[in-house]
Amino acid sequence: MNLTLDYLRGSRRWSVPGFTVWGNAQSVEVSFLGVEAGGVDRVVFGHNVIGGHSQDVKFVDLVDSKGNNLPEQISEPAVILIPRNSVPCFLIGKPSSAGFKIARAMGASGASAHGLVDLLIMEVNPG
Amino acid sequence: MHLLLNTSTASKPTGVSPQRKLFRLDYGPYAGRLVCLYHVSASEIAIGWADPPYVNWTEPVNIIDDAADYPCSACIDADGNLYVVYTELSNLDLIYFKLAFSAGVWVTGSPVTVLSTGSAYFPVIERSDDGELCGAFAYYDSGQGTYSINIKTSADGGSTWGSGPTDTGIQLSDSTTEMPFTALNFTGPILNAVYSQNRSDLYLRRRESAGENWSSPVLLLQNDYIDSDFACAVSNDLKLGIAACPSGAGAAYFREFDGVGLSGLQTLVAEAAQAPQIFYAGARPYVIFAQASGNGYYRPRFGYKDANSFIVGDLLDGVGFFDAALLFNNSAGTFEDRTAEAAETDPADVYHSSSGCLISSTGDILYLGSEVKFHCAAILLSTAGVGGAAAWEYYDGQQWQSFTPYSGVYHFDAADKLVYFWKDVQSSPSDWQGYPVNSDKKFWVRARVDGTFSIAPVGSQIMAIPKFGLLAAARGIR
Repeated sequence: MNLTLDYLRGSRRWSVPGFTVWGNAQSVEVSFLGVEAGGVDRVVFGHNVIGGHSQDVKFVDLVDSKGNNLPEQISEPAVILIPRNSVPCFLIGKPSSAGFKIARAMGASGASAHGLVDLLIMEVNPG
Repeated sequence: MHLLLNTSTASKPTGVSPQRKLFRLDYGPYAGRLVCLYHVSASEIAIGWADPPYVNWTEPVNIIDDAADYPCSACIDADGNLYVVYTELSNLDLIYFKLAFSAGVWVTGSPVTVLSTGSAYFPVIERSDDGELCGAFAYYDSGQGTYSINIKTSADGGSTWGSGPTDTGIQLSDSTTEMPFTALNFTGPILNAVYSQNRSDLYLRRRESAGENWSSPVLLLQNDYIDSDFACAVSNDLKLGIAACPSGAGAAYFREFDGVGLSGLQTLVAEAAQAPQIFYAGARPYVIFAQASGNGYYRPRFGYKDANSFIVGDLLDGVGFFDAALLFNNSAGTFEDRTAEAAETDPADVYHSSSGCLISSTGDILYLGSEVKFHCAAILLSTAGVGGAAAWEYYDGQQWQSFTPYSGVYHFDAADKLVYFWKDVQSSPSDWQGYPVNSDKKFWVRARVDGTFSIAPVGSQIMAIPKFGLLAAARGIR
């Protein structure tokens, strides 16, 4: 929103075109209750995505549109997917400072079809 | 996500594995909502719910205050109505009531006594597509001093069960002196009762149609000791999946019944486990369970079937072994990596070679790191510290911030201590950031000595794992 402030703070952005997504979404969301035993038991709620063959991507392995490798670590990264074919793709979980997990949905587009996306990666808080 | 909902003084707040406490609404304007029931105290059962992304749960509302300290169970229908059975406090009667879902809230119906003879424990309830309610329970015959699994049904929406409250129902299991447990599941119109008997035998009996004709028992698994550590679910092609964690076997197992025969017994994990839950996504079975991590601590795990084996992993981000455990000795000015030793149970092997201790003198530091945020550390010491003091700190992006753990101050003066840094993973500090320590960027919590120990602690095991158990996976309608 505040381009001048972003500029002064040194926020960085990278565009990675034509990224192939092969991780599949044979994963499911699981929600559960659990008890953590102790002096007084704690009733906790858990929620996560499990299973599938998620595609682990490290930032350092990516090459941006200018031909440069991304840095090994990005502080509080945001990863935006811009679809380039009809296979729905999505991130699994929250990106870490080192990378992210990505997968494609299985369905109408065919089980063997890979996803194709452009990645827009932003450093939200460079510190 | 890991979120503390409440504390409880009940013996089994979320019930045993065959019972059901967490449900998902699959249809209508509230689709995706989760609703849960649990004991908040020995006698009180509460209800709470949340909509996606499940960060904000309603305050728990007590709906029952006359329950015995034995867990309840429930099932859900397509309209979101819940059907609940529990053991009543004064006479250990079995009670049923309906929680009618209307305009986004659940309204408690009138209680009905299902059983008033003998006593009933660990009940379960299922509902058929045409509305028949089936309740099974461990029935105790005080005259004989024996337990059995009995089942009663109601064809009028729960108003009457069998021939009335003194009808003990149909006995499915043998009478034994050990507490049995049971799970109910419909595969189409067929009702399946899976039950443990004599602690170590797991049987299946089936009812082909409404009535009293049950098949002969089929032995599913025989191993020491199954007790309540089993669970069942139905696939979309009507296979009955069974997961079990016999405590004496030190393993978790899975097998399926396809209506004709049993699949081979598959080992899910060859380590001690408990509290299995099973569910299907299509035809693929998923099992969640608590896996022993050493010293009485259990971490939540998942397994799913891929071809002929199970792929197993940690169920919750931030709950597991640390990705790094580093010791900094101030006088030597060196780091030593004790990550592997911190994960293992071998005694007295988490120490810095310069001091022979975990931490000792002012400026010594224990660093605990993970790729993701975490909320606790189970700290097992072979030698507890005496006389020292430790400051707990996290990195906020600018500097190390001192904080008092949620569970209170801890100066390595107890040999077995679960330190809750924060209430849950969800409420860990928003400004907590990854930071390179010894060239390794992770989310770190560190304990920095600011008062030298007269007797310095020596570590055996350190992990981001609480004593997890009693899991209850979310269920939609069948």
